Amino acid sequence: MKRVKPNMVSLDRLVPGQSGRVVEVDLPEPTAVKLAEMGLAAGRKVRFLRRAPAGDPLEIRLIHYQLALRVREARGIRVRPEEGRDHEG
Amino acid sequence: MRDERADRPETAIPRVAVAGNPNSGKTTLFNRLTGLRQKVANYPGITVERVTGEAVVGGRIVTLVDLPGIYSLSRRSEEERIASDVLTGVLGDSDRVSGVLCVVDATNLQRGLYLTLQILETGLPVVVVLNMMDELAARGGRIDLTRLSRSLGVPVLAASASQGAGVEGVRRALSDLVAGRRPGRARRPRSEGLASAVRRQEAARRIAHAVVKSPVAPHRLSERIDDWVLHPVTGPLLFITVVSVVFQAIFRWAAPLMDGLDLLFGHLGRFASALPGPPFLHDLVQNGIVAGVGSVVIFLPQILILFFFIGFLEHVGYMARAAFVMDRFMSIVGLQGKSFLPLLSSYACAVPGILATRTIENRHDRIATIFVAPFMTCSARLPVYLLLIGAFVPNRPVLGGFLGLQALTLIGLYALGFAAALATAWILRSRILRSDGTPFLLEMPPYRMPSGRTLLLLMWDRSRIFLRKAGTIILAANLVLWALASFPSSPEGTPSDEAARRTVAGRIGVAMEPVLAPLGFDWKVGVGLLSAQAAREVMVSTLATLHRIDKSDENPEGLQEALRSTMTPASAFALLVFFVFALQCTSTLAVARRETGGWRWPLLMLVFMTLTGYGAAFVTYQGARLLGF
Repeated sequence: MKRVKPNMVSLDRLVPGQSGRVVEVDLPEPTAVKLAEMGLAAGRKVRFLRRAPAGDPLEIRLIHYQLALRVREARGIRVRPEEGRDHEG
Repeated sequence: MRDERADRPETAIPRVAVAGNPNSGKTTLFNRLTGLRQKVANYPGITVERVTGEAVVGGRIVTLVDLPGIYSLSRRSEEERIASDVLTGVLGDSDRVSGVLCVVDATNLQRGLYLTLQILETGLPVVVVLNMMDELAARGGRIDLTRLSRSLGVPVLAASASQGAGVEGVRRALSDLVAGRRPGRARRPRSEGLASAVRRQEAARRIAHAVVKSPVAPHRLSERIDDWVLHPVTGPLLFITVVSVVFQAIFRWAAPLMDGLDLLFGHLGRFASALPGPPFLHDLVQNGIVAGVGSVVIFLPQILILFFFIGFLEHVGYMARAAFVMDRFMSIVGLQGKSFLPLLSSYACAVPGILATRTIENRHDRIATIFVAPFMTCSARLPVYLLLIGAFVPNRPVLGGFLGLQALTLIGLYALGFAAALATAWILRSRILRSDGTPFLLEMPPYRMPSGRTLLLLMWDRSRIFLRKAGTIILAANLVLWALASFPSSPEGTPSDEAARRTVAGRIGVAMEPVLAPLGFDWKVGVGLLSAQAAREVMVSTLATLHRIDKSDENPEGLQEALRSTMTPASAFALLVFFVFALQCTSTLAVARRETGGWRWPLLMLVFMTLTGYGAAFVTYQGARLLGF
């Protein structure tokens, strides 16, 4: 198992309302490309909004819009929790 | 590498592509520019639609090609591939475009710039339109358009298509574009892969940061609404409510309209046959043509109602929320959130249900949904169910008088169809249509009031497409089946079942008896099944005719009694089960063909469902016989 850097969690582990800065996207290339196209890549700030009633998928705020993604993908996105404005790019 | 695009004069009508993200108001702008001068067709072989329209611009006509809403040109989805092909000109001369109108949601500038940068890389002349400027201002955002224009090297206009603002400016810019006053740039080699995606995303971010004078605030109202809509308790409740309303609307509200149409066509048919002419012509006109056309037009109320709701829910923003809520359940069988509405609508009728699958982006999800839609117990099966249940299932109370045995049987049939749909979806998605490559990423747009024009245009488009494409096939099939069931004709006074035996359909029915016998069916049921291939309800009237029941006799008991004397309960149950599984609807085949872009899938559906129906009916009949029915 990969050693997780200190103070880094996967996106699905954030709590509603918590923001974080994306440190690494550890997903297969096509998925990582698709995420980058939507504006999610290392260095971007995201905010975890909520889970669906069934627990999956999740909703996050990214740049200035809301995006839903499944827990499976969220697990591969590592973020460093960060406070402050959540809608900067 | 050739790059003639910038200086080649257009001899024919100039074509300009309109590109942009989903939810950017691109189609609203397109509608504003083209109005009713739109045409919707299919790119051959795929499910993506080809929407073109004519705009009057600077005194001349320009063809606008409304590309599907995409986030990038990376060619992973059908939409992206088609957009990319149109822009790079590989589709051929008739599809070539000489410029691009890039519509960007001003409240989502950074994300929208990603696609814009890719389009700039194609070297085509580009005009950028920042749409939804009214919303930007309402949410406190401000953008330096001049600076943005300088950064990108192309004109940037402000607009609010929903309010009609800025449209004239877009027309002027289009005029410049086609007059060649805005030359394109050199085409950059296509760059793909993660590194270039990240770089492009960075570039978009830098540009957006430099030109945004004041960032847009979140849409507070949407957040408040979502607190309820996506709440763990009220969310699903609201979902069930919305779904019930849509379902009721299709089922109930359409009914009086459909009855009205039925009446109208009945009158038309009788009127036509009152005109002078040989009786054979009367029969052709009344039972062939008018009935055939009527059987197409009868779907219009349901289609209009369904697309009103789809359009409204999609444009207001609720569809994304519903998909969000349903996704988990649908993924269990390998489908996704957006499959729920098409499948639900199919409970009323699979025809509008299949048309509704166009909201599903992933091709395999879309096809799988189309494939299983006919298993959802549609309303055309009901007359057959009610007839057979009424004839063979005793009216006994079950569960302490709460439910009758007959109602229970009906529910059981519904459940069987539902289970078949789930099982088939699971098999399809896990073995044949297995694309898992596209991760589920769904934008949840802010709630916006849909524009009445867009909704009406959508409903108009959908009905036109349906009438034209599906209509021709349904009419043709009905005429063929009418001919088979009418020729060769017998002299007047021949008892109707003998006359039926002599027709082509009758002969086929008799010839089919060895195949039908293991299911407990006789040749009359065989003929009924043949005519029911056009539409399931026809089964009842066919059986009535063949058992010499007067068609105008509204009382079902006559036919039920006749059936009891020619069929055993075992064969009745087998027939019911056959109807659960078999695909007996040319209209469904016609729209499936249109929505999947070819005959392969509809034929597969037909074969699969007929065989499944046969097998299940066989098991039911033999099993029931063993149990003494």
